[in-house]
Amino acid sequence: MAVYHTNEFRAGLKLILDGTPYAIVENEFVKPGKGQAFNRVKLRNLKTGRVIDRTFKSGESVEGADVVDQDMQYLYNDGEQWHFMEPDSFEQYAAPKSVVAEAAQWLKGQEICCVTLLDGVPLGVTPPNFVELKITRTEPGVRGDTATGGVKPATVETGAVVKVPLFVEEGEVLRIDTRNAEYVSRVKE
Amino acid sequence: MKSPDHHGIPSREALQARAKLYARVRDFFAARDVLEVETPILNPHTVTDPHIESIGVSHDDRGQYLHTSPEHAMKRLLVSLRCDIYQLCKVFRAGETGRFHHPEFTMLEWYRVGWNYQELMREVEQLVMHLLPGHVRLLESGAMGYREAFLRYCGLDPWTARTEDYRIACRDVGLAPSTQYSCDDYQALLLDQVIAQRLPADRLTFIYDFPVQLASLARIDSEGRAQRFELYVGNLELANGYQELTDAGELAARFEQDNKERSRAGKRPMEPDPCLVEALREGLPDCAGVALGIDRLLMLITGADRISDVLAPRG
Repeated sequence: MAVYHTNEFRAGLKLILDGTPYAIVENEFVKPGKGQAFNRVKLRNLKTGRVIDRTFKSGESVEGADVVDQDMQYLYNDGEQWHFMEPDSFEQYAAPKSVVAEAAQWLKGQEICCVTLLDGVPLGVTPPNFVELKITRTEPGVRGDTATGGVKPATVETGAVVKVPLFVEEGEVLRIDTRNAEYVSRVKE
Repeated sequence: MKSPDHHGIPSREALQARAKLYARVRDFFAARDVLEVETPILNPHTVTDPHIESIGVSHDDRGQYLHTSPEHAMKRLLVSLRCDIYQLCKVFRAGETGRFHHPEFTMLEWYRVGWNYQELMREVEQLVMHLLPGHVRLLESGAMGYREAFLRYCGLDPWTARTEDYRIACRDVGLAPSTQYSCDDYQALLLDQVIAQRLPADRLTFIYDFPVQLASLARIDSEGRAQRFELYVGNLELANGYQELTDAGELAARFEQDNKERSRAGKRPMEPDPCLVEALREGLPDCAGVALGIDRLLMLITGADRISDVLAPRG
């Protein structure tokens, strides 16, 4: 396993701390005139997304995390595991609900997702930035209703709920930005 | 056409500010009859300081070092010249890269013969005020003992505090150390990341009288305090000065102590500079000396965010 010296620290580098994988968000070298030098580092927990602060003595070495991001096709879920396939090798990976997390609400099948693997085990799933999903339920729009800001909730085929303009109707297909769960446009079938 | 603030290339203003700064430094010392000197950058010996790494180069089949400061060579000159001297030069330190650090930087170092460090602090203040242009407004300067600074800003006494006290003080301000730190490590971290950050902005602050383990080459007074000072402008450390140690035996003991510390930290011990020990044995006059970071001063003058913004790119 690779070991990284503090002078190799840079944003994006992935490390194992206390058995948990982290990615460096920010690294600052600090040193008083005469005294120990330090690296003040902000790290994002790759499992929870939480950002922590940690101070390293310059010269310390930290174990690297064997983390890779891989494009994989989402196949199906069996209620407990979500199954993905690496399109070149056809190798399949299963990820529990806790790992798929928020991504699950955008996946109906066939989407190419980014699966983050730690030592070959899925650690997180990022859905495509844009997905196209059909509306299964929404109230008919009422012309001139501006009290709700001109939007209404719509449930799509995966169960996710997004805010849509009043003119959008049940049965239509929406283009949705998964990064902020926002409606982008209608898609003509 | 290249924009003047093209990344990695200092603006014309930054280069002009540097040229002007050098001229003003030379004016200041010429008016005070301090002699400008030049000492070798490449030397067969270097510092033993446990926290400074020298850059070694191969030259004539001999290992040599780029100086980390002109201190040793200037002290040798002081022994023979016995007059006030200053030097403006590039110095080199391995592994120091950051917002305020660069492995190659410009240092202004000067020595006043017969002065004490308190007198030198006043001259440092006068020089900095002379060099900062009108648009950088500063309130009157302040001075604070190292101990007082820790009591005021960290709520602990660095003369008596134990590792556990430091650990709690660090935790309270969100500094989470990766491993076990010594009291010295905690003090360095708190001084840089807590005390300096809480010093009044727009003001010069001197912190003086350091713990003995931070004496470096400063003299230790009868109360066991190192006669050393640091200057901060706002929260930026700019200068570091000493009442210079003149006792050759004591110097040799400090070198040895440094190397013990280097070994403990897994660093290679450095052969003590015999020329400096010899110079002190011949008789270094009583003097106070200080080193000031010119690039950081330029950052203040030009409003640069990173030290690299005031440095010309490598060829």
